[in-house]
Amino acid sequence: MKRFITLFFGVFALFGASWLSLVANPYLTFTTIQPNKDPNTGVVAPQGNPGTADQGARVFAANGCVYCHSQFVRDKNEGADIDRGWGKRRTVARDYMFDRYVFLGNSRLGADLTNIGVRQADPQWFYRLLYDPQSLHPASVMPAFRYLFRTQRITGQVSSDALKLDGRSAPPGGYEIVPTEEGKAIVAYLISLKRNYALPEAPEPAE
Amino acid sequence: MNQPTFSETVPPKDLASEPRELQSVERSVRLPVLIFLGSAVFWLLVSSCLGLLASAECHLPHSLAMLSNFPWLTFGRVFPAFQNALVYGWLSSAGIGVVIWLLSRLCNTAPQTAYLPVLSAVTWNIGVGAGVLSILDGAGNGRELLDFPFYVAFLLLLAFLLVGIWAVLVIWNRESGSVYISEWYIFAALLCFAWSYTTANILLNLSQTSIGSAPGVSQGAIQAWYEKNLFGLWLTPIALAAAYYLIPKFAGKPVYSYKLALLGFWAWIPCAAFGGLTMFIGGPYPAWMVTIGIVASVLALIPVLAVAANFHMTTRTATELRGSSLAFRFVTLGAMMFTFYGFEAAANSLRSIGQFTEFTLVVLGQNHLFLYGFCSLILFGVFYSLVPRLLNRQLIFEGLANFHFWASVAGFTLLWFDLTMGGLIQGFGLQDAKVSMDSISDLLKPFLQLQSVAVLIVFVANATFAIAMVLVALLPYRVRNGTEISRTSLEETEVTVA
Repeated sequence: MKRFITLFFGVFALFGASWLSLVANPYLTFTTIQPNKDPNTGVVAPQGNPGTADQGARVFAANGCVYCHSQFVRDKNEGADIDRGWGKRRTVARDYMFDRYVFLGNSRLGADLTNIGVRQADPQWFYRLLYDPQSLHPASVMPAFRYLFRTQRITGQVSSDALKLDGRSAPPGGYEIVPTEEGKAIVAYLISLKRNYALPEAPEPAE
Repeated sequence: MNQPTFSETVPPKDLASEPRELQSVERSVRLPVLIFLGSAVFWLLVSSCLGLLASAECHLPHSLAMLSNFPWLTFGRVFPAFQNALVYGWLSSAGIGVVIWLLSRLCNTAPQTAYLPVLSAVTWNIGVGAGVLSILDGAGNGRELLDFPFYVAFLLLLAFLLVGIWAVLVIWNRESGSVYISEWYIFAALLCFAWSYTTANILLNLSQTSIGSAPGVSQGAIQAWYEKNLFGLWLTPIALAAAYYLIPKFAGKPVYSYKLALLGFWAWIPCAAFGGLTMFIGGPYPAWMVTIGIVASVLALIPVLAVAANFHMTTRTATELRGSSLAFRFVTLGAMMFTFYGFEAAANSLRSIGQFTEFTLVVLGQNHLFLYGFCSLILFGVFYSLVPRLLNRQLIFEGLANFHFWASVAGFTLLWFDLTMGGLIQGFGLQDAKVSMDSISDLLKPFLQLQSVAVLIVFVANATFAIAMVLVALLPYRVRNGTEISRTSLEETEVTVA
């Protein structure tokens, strides 16, 4: 038993040290982060997210988007993220302080989404991407998410959020394709992804 | 430390020399071990099917467009279902089975509590089944290898607790004496998995608690910490415990060096526990958190090389191999892959290399080098030596098992080369803003197609393995006397020290 007691305390101490420094420590430090108030303009950033964004984050999680899309921008000397237009500066802890679900991701089979809401603000663009990705990016390996939409008979007016599709993926005459609640939620989430305010700890690098 | 006694470097004695006592030890855990191993084979097949589908979806988004009407078949659900079935279904189930068997053998006690691991096996399998179905059903968490919803994690923890109680009872009642190397690793694995799986699930997946879910980017830090522990302090120690048990037996020699084994064990624990954040190089963390991970991943080469040297010297001085050469091939090749993985993980953790390889298929290749090349190969070796023994049958159709070996080596090697080459091209593309994302997708197409070929070969290998195991279990040929069994299954030879 003596050997097992040595073994227990040894492993406990080494592993406990990693738990304290890599779990407890970030947990406590990142709880105390405050938004930044610009001393000149008085603008507070980041702002919180709209409630629909949290629902959309659940849809984002459930459908495994994170397995191909990352959500962080590296500094200019660490990668081409800024040159690709994925953000004007690196992202820091404060950027995520209001996010209930943080999906940093470690795969970029698709584009980084840190600032996708800055690049694209039109829900129609997102609906089209989700319904038929190859109609926007022919070489893309992104799967279509038809189940986030439903085809319904047009009664009276065409719905305001009906997809404007042509050619191959257009619905039969008299029908329209509209996003489901989940489809609307995920698009609201994606559009909410904007980290385009200034933070003192992450200045925009010079060109 | 006291001077090592021989039994710290020598696996326990021959079964045949003390037949009654040892057989009762083995018989007492036969049922739970067989349930765990049997269900592991089932989950291996499930994960192979899911993996094949996920791989095909990567390069056939158009031909498989009709699948996009079925949410449960979308890549974003099939891929995590595949990974979780592989890690929790195949590797962990088989791992727990091996832990139960090794602990009872090494502690040489047979407490009348075998119902605990049986109950655990049932709970664990219900958990994995519910978890995989939840992911496909859209209840996954979108956190790599923590995709199972909280209630599933709770079931798995419950199952784990049952095994844990059993393990404590066995260790408590063990015959006093020296502690064999495999026991260190098993002990560390049980402690670290329980700790990290509980922490990660409570902080990341349990919503609306008084503790509150982890704030902001601490989620990513906890995720990276957990993933590294899952690989380094759960799957690794189990595989190494099996290798430390089997390799000296095959070689008929004690472990070459007790001190190297000590170094390999104690240096590995901090290196694995601190190495996680290399996953997010350039991420939104203070620089020291990532740097500590890089230092740990590079220093991990010390224990990796200590273990490799120990295995090498143990087998090198052996004059002849005992027992099945097939199982020996699986275990030694798996152990070599651990060294290889250590070097790749160290290289990819460096900022200069990592900035090209992070976010690419290289990471996937490295993970599968670990999960398949290292852990699975060692477990295959354990199955081939253990299952015929537990069932008191012979491994028949050795050609089938031989085919399994070569098919898994071929499939896995092709997969690793393909993912690494494709990933490097992807990485250099991503680092050059002039190369558009669309052209990177174009460049990757042939690699994604070749990936499916490799995954198909691995699938065939895994299916062959399952057939070989089913044949062992079903065919009525029983070994009537002890001399016959020793030809093909694990020969429990007594290691004598000159």
